[in-house]
Amino acid sequence: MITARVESGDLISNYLARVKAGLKRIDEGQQQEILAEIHSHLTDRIEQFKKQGSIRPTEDALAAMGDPDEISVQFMKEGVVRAASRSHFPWVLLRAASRLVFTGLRGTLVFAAGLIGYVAAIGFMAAAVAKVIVPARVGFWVGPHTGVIWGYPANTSGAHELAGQSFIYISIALAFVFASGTTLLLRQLLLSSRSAKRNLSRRA
Amino acid sequence: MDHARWEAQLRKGCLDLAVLATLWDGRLYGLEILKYLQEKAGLEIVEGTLYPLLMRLKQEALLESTWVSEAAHPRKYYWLTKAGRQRTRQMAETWAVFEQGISRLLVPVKERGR
Repeated sequence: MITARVESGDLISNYLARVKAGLKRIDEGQQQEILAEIHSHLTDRIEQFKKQGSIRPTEDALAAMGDPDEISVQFMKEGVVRAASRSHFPWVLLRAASRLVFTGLRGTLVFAAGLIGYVAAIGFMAAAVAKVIVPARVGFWVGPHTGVIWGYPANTSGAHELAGQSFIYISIALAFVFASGTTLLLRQLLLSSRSAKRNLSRRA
Repeated sequence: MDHARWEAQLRKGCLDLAVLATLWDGRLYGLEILKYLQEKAGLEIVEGTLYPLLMRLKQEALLESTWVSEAAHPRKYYWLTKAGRQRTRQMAETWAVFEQGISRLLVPVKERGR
């Protein structure tokens, strides 16, 4: 009887440890809250299965609860990603998007879109600053060797700079458009990615 | 799309409303919500998926919760906030209109489908 109780405790501890392992990026207080609630649920379910005459109530309760890795993924998606979707900070949004990378193609595309958008915004802002520092070399260049370049071509021979001082203002405007557009897009995509289809499938 | 996938998506779409509706008459803890869903609506979900959903609804300020130690072990009870009741009412109205529309579409299927 004592052995059975210890084994049951081990099963629950192992299960909770697996859930916890997937919640590393959630703050400690919230982790403890989640684990306490799952533990409370399992305690009730084990009692129920015992009353129903189950010979393995702990195993039955854990099976009904579902895959612990899947539960922590669901918490990450519903909680952290959802919370991040309300943020306006690029690093918060990108960090949340990075958590979706391993959840599938859609998650990877969301992260890639965010990364490309913010890198473009930084690039336009850097171009505006560079124009102030080296005005003769930075600009909107069109020429036979350079092609069409917004920025700093290696070779400007035969090329014409078309934007002049407007280059600075246009670059800043484009940086703003890319940064704010990417932020809005990421917020929307993170919001809509909160639920994984597979997590809501019926129990077999 | 096969039938099982379609059904899973349908359930997924309704689950928020279903969980909010279970709390209309008062506070419940997770296992009671699951039991309510199963007994009243025949909705069976993997038990562990309920808690992330409850957390999200709480983050959206639709639910509030507290730990209660009146039983052998503490349980976390949930109840609808004012915003939660309002959202549930809105969702219920939308559901009713949607359900009526689909039902009208399905009349010929039911009448001549056999």
